[in-house]
Amino acid sequence: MTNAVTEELKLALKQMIVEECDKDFEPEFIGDDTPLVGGDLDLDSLDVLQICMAVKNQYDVRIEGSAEARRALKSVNVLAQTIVDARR
Amino acid sequence: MPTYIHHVDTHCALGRGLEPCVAGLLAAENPLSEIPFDQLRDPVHMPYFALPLDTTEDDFYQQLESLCANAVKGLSAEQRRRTALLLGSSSFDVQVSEQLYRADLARRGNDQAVPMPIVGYGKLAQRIGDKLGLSLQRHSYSTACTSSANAILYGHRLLEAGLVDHALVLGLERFNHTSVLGFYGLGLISPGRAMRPFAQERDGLLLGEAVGLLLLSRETPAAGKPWLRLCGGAIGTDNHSLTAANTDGQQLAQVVQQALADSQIDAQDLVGVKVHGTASLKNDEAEAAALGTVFGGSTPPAFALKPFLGHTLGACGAVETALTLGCLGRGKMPANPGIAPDPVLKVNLAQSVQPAATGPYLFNCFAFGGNNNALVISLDRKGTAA
Amino acid sequence: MKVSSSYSLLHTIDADAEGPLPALEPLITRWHGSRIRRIDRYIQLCIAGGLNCVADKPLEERTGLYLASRAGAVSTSAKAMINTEQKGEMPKPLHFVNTLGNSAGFYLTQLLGLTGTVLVVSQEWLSFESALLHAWLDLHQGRVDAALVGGFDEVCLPTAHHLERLGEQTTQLTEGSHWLLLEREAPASGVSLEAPNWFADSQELAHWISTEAPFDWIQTGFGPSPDERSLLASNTGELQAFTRPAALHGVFSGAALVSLCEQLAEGQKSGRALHLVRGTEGPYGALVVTC
Repeated sequence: MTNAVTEELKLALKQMIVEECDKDFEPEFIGDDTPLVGGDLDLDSLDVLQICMAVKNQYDVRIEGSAEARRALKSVNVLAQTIVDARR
Repeated sequence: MPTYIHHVDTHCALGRGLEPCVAGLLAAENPLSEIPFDQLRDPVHMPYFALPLDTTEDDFYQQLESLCANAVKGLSAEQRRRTALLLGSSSFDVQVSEQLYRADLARRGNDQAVPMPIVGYGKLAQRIGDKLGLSLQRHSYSTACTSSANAILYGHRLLEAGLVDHALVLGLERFNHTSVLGFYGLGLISPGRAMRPFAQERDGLLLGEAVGLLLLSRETPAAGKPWLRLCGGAIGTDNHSLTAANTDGQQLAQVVQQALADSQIDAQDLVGVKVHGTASLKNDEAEAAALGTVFGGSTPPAFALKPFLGHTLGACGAVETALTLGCLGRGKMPANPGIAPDPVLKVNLAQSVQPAATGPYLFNCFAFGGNNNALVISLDRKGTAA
Repeated sequence: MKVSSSYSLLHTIDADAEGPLPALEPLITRWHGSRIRRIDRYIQLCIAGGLNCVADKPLEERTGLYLASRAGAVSTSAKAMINTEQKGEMPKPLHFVNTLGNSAGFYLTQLLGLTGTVLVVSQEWLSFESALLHAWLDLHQGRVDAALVGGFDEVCLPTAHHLERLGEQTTQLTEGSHWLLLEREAPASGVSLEAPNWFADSQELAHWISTEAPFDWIQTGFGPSPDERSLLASNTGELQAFTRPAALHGVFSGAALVSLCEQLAEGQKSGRALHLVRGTEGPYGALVVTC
């Protein structure tokens, strides 16, 4: 399922972000290229930690340190690619 | 009526008892150990300042009871009934709660086992108070890392109001998975495995377990040893962020200024500062800014204790105060040899142990959730206290 | 201490309820329009109670916040423990920070713009009285000009687990959030509270009551035993019990005291009253309320 970046994976990540950050918008509100941090989503460092831990628990992919997290959480597209690359 | 500190004690990674802890601290020992978390799906090893092995068979509760019993052994039954008990902790007996839950999981399985089986922050104080025949003024404080610093402050205020004659203050943090893994999950543990407060290369904190204890009293101490006088303190709130202080340090500066005002002491009269110093990027920046605001570039000699025993969370207020007073009582002021100051922060920690000056010392203690505490304690010449 | 505002929220929850628990969000949005994310029920209880007690009234700059809870954030602490002990995972960062004692106070001070003294204290079944004592100390010693005192304890699902934690068999559980906004004594009329007192047993209590009597009436936050009834009846007039079928609620005494204060404020009663509480097996807490 995570061999390639699919629409399914991206939607799953969006749902995960909404849930982990306790946001009250629909997952589809997050565009594939919407910046996750520092943009309209208004996510902070605690949200970033929540997302990274959920990624680790669900996809077994570690995103450690704030520099790596900033890179991986650029957008859903980048996060999905990061997961796929790590699992190859 | 002044509040005097008659007795202090501590168990921390440096030792079990004030003497070994003070000796280890002044010798700049580094008792860091490593704890494996093999039960995790993805096992990790974590540096930790664990208590030295207990040579007795005593359990969690017995250890606390005997420490407290030792602190009040000089008090008569009547005096004990006039002794408050103030317990500050961020984890109380969660260690035991986790053990019980693990046993329950093995016995009844995932669905039936009850997580967090022990509830009631006040249970420990009730148990110790009953055992030692203390006053019913038994208050437990749960404000994360300031818990036991707040307990000290309200011990002082209870004495000031004359509601009790003595106050036993206890700070407690025992190893537990929730606290240790919780901090790890927040990415706050130092990858370099060393706490270097206010240094350029600071990269986070290390955790430790400890118990700290102080006996406060309205009674004048015996002549022949230095007098330690709790002059006052304050609590302030910085609700900028749940997990980090505002780096402008203004709320921290304000709580220090309020503590000084409460103690009727001018900033320039302070002779030393026990910093909070968590060696995390933002919190040190905030504390440095606060010290700059309060002292205007002429900060008195400062020292940090966490590099020697770790951040002991809710216990750190009582533990670090007890340790500092243990050193001052022996005529020494602690130091942090080898921790070079970040030129941006400009907080120079003392590089070598110096003779302790008499006069007032500042004790900083800050917590998650923006709860901040500052205390002022004075080392007075024998028998010449104000 | 003069009572300038009060609020109490008390939910009775059937022990076989499977949820959901009564919604708290509407009580918060009444005073704060936008939804606050990442807060658990324990924090919601704190915010709902605090905002409704303050009810948009301007607060003194030096207002202290004195929070009481017997058990703290049990539900979230349990979730963190399930992660570490059962699933072999780290606690979620959000769960961990919400287990900390003053996270609830953090949100409330942010909403109310308070930057002074904040405490979270606990003393088993007399936790609310412990918070009142801390407020009294600071008001009395002039360190604050007003004190917002709040006590809250949650019911956690599943209820079967929660009953085990409480070590009780009962058909009903209670959760709630109880608040008083206090000012230093003013000469004006109104309801005022004296400092709380603690007594180890009924003899100590009886002795104190005999020195403090007469009271126009006494309210107990528990169902008094026959012995307690005779002890209280011999010293004073009317006795009323403020109890629920199952008062297994850590700060139930806060509910009792707020109710007493409100009856006095509304003129249903007047004079000198005694608020009396005790834990499951003592000690007693007592506090004089006048109007």
